Amino acid sequence: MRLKPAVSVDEAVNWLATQASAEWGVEVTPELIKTLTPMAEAMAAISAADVPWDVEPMFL
Amino acid sequence: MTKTFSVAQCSVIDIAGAVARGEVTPSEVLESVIERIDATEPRLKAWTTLKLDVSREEAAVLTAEAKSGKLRGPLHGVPVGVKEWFNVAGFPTLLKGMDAPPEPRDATVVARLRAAGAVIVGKTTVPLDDKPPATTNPYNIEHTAGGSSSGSGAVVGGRVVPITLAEQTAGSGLRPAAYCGVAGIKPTYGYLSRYGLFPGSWSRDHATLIGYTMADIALVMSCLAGYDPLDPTTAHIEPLPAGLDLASLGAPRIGVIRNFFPERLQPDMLAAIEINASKLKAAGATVVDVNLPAEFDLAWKCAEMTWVESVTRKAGSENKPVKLEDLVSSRASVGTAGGVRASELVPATYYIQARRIRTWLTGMLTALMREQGIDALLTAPAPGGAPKGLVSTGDPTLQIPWSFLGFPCTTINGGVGSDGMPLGLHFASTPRTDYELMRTTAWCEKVIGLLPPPAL
Repeated sequence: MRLKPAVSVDEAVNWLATQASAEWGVEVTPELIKTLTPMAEAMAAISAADVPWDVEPMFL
Repeated sequence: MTKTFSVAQCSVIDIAGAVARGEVTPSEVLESVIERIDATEPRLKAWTTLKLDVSREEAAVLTAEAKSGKLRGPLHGVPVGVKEWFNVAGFPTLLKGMDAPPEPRDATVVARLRAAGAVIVGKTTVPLDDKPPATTNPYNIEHTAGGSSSGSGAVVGGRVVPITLAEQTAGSGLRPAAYCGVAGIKPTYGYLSRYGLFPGSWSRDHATLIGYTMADIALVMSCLAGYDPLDPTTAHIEPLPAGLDLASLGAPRIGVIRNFFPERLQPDMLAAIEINASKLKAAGATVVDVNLPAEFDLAWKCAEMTWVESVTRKAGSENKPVKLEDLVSSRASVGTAGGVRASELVPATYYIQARRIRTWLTGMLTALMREQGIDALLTAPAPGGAPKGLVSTGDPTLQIPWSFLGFPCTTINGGVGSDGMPLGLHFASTPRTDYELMRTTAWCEKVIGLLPPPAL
């Protein structure tokens, strides 16, 4: 999944569901979508953030 | 031993002082703790492992040393409880399995407690197998003590020991402190060693302290904080002073956070913040409203990404097919939106971006506090008091941004709600201002006062 241009929640949740299905063989159900949606919302928000180019990651 | 000595009425500073003056021995202190355990444990259910014979032997050695005029350090004879997540030599770490063997060595913070003269009383309860412990709240045993440092909060709130080691990854340290009506600190990431701490999420795991007062916590922090060659994430810092020297501290400038948090608070907690802010203002503090930058919301989002750290830890130990119920339960077990296992699916670019946002937000908040001259940001440690029932340890949501950012945070008494349960206040500051934050918090604690002990 790309980081930029920003992804929508729908794009992210569909991508996560596809990955879950491919990796673990779980069926894509409304419950799976509900479970993955908070992570998709986080991905969408992070993707949309306009972080200045010179900000380095802080790992610790 | 004086006939009036009771550990239930003594702070860390009281006990250490009494031992140093020869008014009580470490063995007598420990016997008082054991009496208190006998009286409260049937209701609190706050200890996982006690080895009281071993503790008695340690206290006897400390007693002999004290009688010969030798004090190991500022905590000589002080009884301490330790959250189950920390390794304690001779004790199993039950997160590794209920049949885990005794650990061969102490976690660094435990070793430093011993070096300062503390007596390790035992290990305190945490959720195991994703189930909350049976631990109850000392102010009402029908309510949770919070978690995951459940026992560490309950035994301090229940006046069994005056100080405990706790831990916070999301909201596991300060929430139990607040729910149990006492004080706590989650220091700057890197101030307290994580060596020997069972890992949850490396970049968010913080050793934490729960105690009666901020002065007690400052004394113990002075014994524990600093670089540890066994934990490369620890900071090289000057030793923290043991005392807070409030006499030289002027009235602080407190910023009451007016966005992101109020909409998550219950009416009692909202009222507690206003009432206590007014008290602080009346006592001379400058109290101002603060709106955090809009980007602060990203802290909650980025924290979701760091659950992948837990997944990498568990890799190999969970070599089994993932089912839908695993995904659902992995969300429920951490009590947060998102999902531990779901984080495994997220590309690394998002994790890296989350870590960049941590730098970005740290800079924004540091600038905001500096420009407005704010000593501490005031909000709540939890939406309200401890919820009724033991099926949940409460909501960690409000702590998540601070744990993600690694900022130092404290909690103190903020009164009680309409149900009689304690309500904490939460103070935050920027990294490496722990000592200043403890002083500011102690100033506020002096104005607001301590919560009376529970009738347990």
